[in-house]
Amino acid sequence: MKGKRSPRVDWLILGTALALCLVGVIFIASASWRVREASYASFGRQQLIFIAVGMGFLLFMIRFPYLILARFAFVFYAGGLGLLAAVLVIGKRIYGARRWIDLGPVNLQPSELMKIALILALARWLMFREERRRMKDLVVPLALMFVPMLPILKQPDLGTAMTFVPIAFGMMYVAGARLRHLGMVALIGVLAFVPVWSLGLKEYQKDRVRTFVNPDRDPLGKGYQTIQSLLSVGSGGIAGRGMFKGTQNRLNLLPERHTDFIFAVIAEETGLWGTTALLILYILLFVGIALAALRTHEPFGRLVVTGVLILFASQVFVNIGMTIRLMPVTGLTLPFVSYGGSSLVTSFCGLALVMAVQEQQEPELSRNAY
Amino acid sequence: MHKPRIGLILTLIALMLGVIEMRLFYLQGICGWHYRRVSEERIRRRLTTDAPRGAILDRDGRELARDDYAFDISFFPHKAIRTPEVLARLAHVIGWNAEDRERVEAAVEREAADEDRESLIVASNVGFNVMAEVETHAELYPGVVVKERSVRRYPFGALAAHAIGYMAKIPASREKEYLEQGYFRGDMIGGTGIERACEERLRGRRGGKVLVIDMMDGLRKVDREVAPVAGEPLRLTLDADLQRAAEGSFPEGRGGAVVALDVRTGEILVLASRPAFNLNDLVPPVKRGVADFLNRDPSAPALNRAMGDGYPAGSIFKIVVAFAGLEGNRLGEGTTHTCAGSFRHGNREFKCNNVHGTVDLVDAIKVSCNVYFYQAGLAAGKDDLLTWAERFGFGRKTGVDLPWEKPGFLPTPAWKKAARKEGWFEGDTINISIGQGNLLVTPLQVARMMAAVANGGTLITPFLANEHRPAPATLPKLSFNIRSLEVVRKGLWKVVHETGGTGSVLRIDGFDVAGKTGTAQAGGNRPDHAWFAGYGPYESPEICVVAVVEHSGHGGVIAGPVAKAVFETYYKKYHENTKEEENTKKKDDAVGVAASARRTGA
Repeated sequence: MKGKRSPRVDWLILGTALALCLVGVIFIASASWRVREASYASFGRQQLIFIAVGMGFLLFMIRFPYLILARFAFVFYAGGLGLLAAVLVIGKRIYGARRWIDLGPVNLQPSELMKIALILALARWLMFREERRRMKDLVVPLALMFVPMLPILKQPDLGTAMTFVPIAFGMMYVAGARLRHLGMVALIGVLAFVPVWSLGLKEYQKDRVRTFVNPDRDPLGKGYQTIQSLLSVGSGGIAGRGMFKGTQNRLNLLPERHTDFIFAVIAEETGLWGTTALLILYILLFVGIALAALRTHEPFGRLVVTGVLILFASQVFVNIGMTIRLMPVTGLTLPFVSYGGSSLVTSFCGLALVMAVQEQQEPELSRNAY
Repeated sequence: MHKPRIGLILTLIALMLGVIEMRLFYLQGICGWHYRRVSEERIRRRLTTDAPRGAILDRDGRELARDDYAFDISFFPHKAIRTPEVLARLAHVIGWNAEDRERVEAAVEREAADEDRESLIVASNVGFNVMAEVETHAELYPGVVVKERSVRRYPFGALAAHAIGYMAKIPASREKEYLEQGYFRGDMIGGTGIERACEERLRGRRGGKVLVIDMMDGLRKVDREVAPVAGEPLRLTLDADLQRAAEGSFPEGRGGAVVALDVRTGEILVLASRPAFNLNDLVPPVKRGVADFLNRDPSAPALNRAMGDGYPAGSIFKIVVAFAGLEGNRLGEGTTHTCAGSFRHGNREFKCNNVHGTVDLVDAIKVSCNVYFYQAGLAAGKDDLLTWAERFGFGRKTGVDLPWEKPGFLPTPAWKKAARKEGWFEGDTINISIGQGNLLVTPLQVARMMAAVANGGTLITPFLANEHRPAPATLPKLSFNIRSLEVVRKGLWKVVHETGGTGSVLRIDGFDVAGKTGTAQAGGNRPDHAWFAGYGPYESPEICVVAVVEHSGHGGVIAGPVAKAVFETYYKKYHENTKEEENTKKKDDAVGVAASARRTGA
């Protein structure tokens, strides 16, 4: 590494990520209208601060020799597990779920950090085993995936736990696992669903799934959120109701609208054109990250980039899916767009990893350099 | 590591986003308008303003029914501060007991949690003092608002209850129809009497406005506004003075009816039915006992006996027999029969109320001799008898402008054959000759017959609301000989004015009444129904009065005084004192009631 040269920045990735952040700030501002007080809450300004912090972290990380992370991957993983265990004991309860550790000015959400730790640990384990394509090679990565899911489900946080599965499967696949093996594991998982449903899921989680299947079952209770968000998205129509003019949004009819349901606000105010544009931004981001993965010959870096790609993509799918009734309602944020420090920090961590890996590749080296 | 594998993952991601895009196209592109409509509806708030119902006035302009304001106390939990203190103050002013207060507090607490709720009514129909206190010391009652509401009042209480009628809920079966006409669910409509008959005129049309929330400043703005339209007042032909005289003189505890008509026009001056009820008791909230009394009491207070049920006519019907005989030339003024107290026909004995000796037609009417009319009826024959009964309007509705009129019943040979499987016997003719048998008449029908006798043969259509006044040309004219009319009238005059007449109680100084008594067998060993039907003044008739008192005894003795009270009041009001007449004249001119005919007649 030559300390003096300016870093190679992938503008496709950084540009789309910052564009998403900007979209987020605008609609968080719109969603922070308080109809009773007839004034705006300060979420938009706070989000700007979070973004600034995230950018600072990114600039620091981009020169950070990321391979050091591979060395400490399992340490991070163990630390993450420790925090998850701690959250069960000293965690702060919000909306009935114990997900946060109170650190004075900020709340730490260990399950967010665990996403990154899991990606690092899986990459570390899989980087040396790329040609071992036997079924038993999958046991350790699956265990790495499964162990942190337990305390997260216990919090309970079904949404975050659910993202671990595509991350692990995707990374194993890219690392060389046979599709046949992954399919069998998936089948076993589906079969295991029955005992998990009857023993493992909390009643409120079952209710969410039931209500997802039929939200009219309980329109004022658990189905309320889905009905309201469908109404928000649908009433946007083709052209939208106009910026800062969504009725669902402005009249506070949609709960959690600046965090988990920010997509419904965007959909209501900008319509199909706006949602399509947003999806195109995400596609560009994903294409950029995928290209970065393809350009990366060093296996740890490539696996990390792949993991981040799948993390972002699955969050986007689950988050938008729940606002348009394709997925059950889970507390999962829309990367770069939703309001929230923990979520934004995780997203910028992922972004920083991708950009660090990119920055530190030597394109002129042959693929067998490592 | 395998490069295509990352491509596959990217493809998968693109596919999933494609699914999302398709779903969005469905939700926003295809169903967008539906969702837009639903969400538009949610930012609208409809406010309505009630419009008062029109007042019902008697012929002199006195209010028989009107809309008063009632005051409700509403409470806005979101706007309130120091809620417990305010509620405590309200409890003191309104006079809640502990139980009331608990109920209100619980309701307030419940509603406070509901953000969409605007306000709730914590006390309805409060007194004027409560309204005044809250309005004048608004600063002591944050979040409390007095709301006005219309409520129906009947200043005369039970007077003319059946004619005026009361309000009722919209029947569930016709709800849709009413909602289309602008009524709201839970609205009251005229249920009986003139309240029902003139619903269209009386009803107030609600006004309202649609408020839309402005998205930028969150304030509500008026989108559409319709002004409320008050119901029109309705002047009746009813005379509250006469009505009061009729009801006041009616024997206590008896059932029956009184009807008085202007014989020249058909204006209903009195329409009373007993037992009655206080209309104010039927304004919601109705106490349980009141509803039970009205609907279940064996005396059937809800029934309007002036027109809602038939009675045997008794001797009143002899007027029809006389006309039938005279017009068919089977009876003359000089025709005599001898009454020995009973009449034998075949092997049956038909009784008379007395032994009258030899009487002619005029005297037979005067003393109401049954034996004479048995033979007069037989002589006239069933065909003429029934024809004239039909001409006088029996067996069909009078067409009065009130709901639920009954036609009474006029038996015919065809009916008897169908219902009883037997022919018409002369015994049937004999029975109907004195108004008995299967014949049933309503007091209103009898009044119409008496009006035709008084006005020279015009069969008027009685009406209560001036807007239902029929055109005089449309009224049927009975084509009887003037001689027949004079004979009958002479008999009716003698009933009242000659010694031995059955209606001598009706003699009034200065006001000649002519009429006929009736004592109709009620059947089932119960006392007879007492009838009196008459008109006055004899020389230029203006008013006819019919009174029937159920199961009470002799017509002249029991029903006579009731009719007399109406005649007397009429006389005093319209004839005796010219000064009063002047006053009435001025008042009538001012309001434009067509009473000029009465004055010229006077």
